Amino acid sequence: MRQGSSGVDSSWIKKADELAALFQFTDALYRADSIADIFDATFDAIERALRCSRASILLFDHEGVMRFVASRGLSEGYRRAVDGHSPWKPGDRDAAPIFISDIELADEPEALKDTIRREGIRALAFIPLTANGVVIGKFMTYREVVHVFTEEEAVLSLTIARQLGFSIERRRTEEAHQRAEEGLRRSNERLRIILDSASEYAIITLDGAGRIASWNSGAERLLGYRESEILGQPGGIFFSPQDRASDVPDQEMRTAREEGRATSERWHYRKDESRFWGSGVMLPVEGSGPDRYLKIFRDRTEERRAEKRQKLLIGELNHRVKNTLATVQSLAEQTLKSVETPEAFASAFNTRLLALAKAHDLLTREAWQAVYLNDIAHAVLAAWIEDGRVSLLGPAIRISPKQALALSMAFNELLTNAIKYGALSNSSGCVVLSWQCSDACSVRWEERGGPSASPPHRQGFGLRVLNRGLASELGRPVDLRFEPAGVTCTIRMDFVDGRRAGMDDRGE
Amino acid sequence: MSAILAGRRILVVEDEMLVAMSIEDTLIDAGGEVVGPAPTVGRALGLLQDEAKIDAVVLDMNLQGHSGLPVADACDERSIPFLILSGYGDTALSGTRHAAPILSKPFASAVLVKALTTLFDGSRS
Repeated sequence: MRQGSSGVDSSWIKKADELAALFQFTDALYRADSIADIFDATFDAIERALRCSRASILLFDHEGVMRFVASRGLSEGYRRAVDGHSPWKPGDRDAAPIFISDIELADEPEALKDTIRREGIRALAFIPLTANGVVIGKFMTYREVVHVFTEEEAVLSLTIARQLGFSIERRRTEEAHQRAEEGLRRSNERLRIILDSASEYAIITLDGAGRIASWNSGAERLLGYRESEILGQPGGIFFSPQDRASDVPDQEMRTAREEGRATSERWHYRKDESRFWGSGVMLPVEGSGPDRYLKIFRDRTEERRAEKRQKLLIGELNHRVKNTLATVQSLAEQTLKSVETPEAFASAFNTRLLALAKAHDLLTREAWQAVYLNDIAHAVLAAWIEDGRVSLLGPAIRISPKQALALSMAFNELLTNAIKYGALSNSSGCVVLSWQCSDACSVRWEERGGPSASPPHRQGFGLRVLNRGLASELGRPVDLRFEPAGVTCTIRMDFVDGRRAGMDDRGE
Repeated sequence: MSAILAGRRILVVEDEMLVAMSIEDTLIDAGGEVVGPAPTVGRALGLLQDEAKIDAVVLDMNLQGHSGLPVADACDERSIPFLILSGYGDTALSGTRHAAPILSKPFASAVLVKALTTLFDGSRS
């Protein structure tokens, strides 16, 4: 420090020193990296230009209290004691500096004077710091001896204050800007994390020319392209060639631009050429920049399949219900023709309906797939099987729903006849129901121990079911005999192995 | 019932045994002669090929899970009029080139006879 240099024209040298100090101050402020640099430069300038080594800078805090932010040559105790003391309030305009040449002569409370005295201070200057004309703080200079402040010192002080105020304000603006940028960066980061965590959704942006400009991890997962290989590619790259040929990508952007939103439901093709049913929306990105489009879509293949399946199932259900109604209608018509009294109709119709219902129950339990012949026989004949009057003999084979319904009708008619006229009409007769299957199935109903059977006089419903209905239903003749030993009935039908005997498996 | 279908040989293609029996009764009561009933597409096509004279076909469009469409096509080839029975309602022929009358199940016997006579009137003119 070239302070207080001696020479012939000391006033000129002093002036030159002050100018050099101010120049250095301005330069240092310009280069300052931090607010601390600014304060240091200020103290340096005060020391050189005002020749005062003790100084402090105070600023209003956010509560409007004047607080020390930096000082030189002050004790911690002093700072604490006078912290918050200010001749100005926040927002004051046209604040003028205050110079106290001798604290002993000042009109201040004794306690404050005492604090100042103990710090070894005799003269003080309060220089307001302003920003846009409003007081934001002050800097203080402190001298150990009585000091008469000159006009020149006042001007220098105000020059330093103006520079300092401006620097602080600029610094604050920059910090606010940085905070804003940091906030933006963080919120972008958060957005990115959200976009990436939405891994079920492909979220991409397209530029005005329809090229892919961003690609989230959901898009990578869904379509198999990495961001690095897809950026800059046309947005229709994952559409079908037909969709691309008919300008679907352009149309989508046009609709988004003109209507604010474009929906898309179509096949999307992955990098490995497999496809999924993509469902999504495209929106134009609001903003002053060039056209951009945001596109969000997801894989709805499963949902679509389920919807189609459900539609099909409802149609199928409707068909089944109507067919069943038609069957019941026929059952009533046929039964009506073969009986003479309403009571007989009710009884016959009920047992037939019940047999049909039991077969339906069974088929429903098996989801209308193949069912075991054994189970169908049980459904109709259970009570007699438990009594030991009817016995079953045959391998576990599955038959189709159609065959199951036909057989349950047949068993019901055979049972009804056996109870009325055959082996189950007395207490000792029995029935053996047996079946064997190779290329075709042969199901045999054989009554023993009942009264000798003779062909009925008229062909009732039961006989018709067995002779004509069943034969055409199963595609093979039914051999029904009324013999002295009892009724025998041999039903032949196609044998379709297990799983293939199911209902239609048109699937979707 | 009068012999309104006298002399008519009608192929019944229906896989519901009881419904087929009812149709059979209805047609016979109306004086007609029944060919079949055929419960499958294969049997129906066989009868269409083998029988010398078939005047009309009553066709259920769903035969044990299979579409009755091949039978409809065969009828067209032989210029035999047919009518459709369906639990699916009016949509049974949508998406096909056929425009046959459709009877939605269940239906009354009289409606079937009426539909058949209309069919014969139409094919005569």
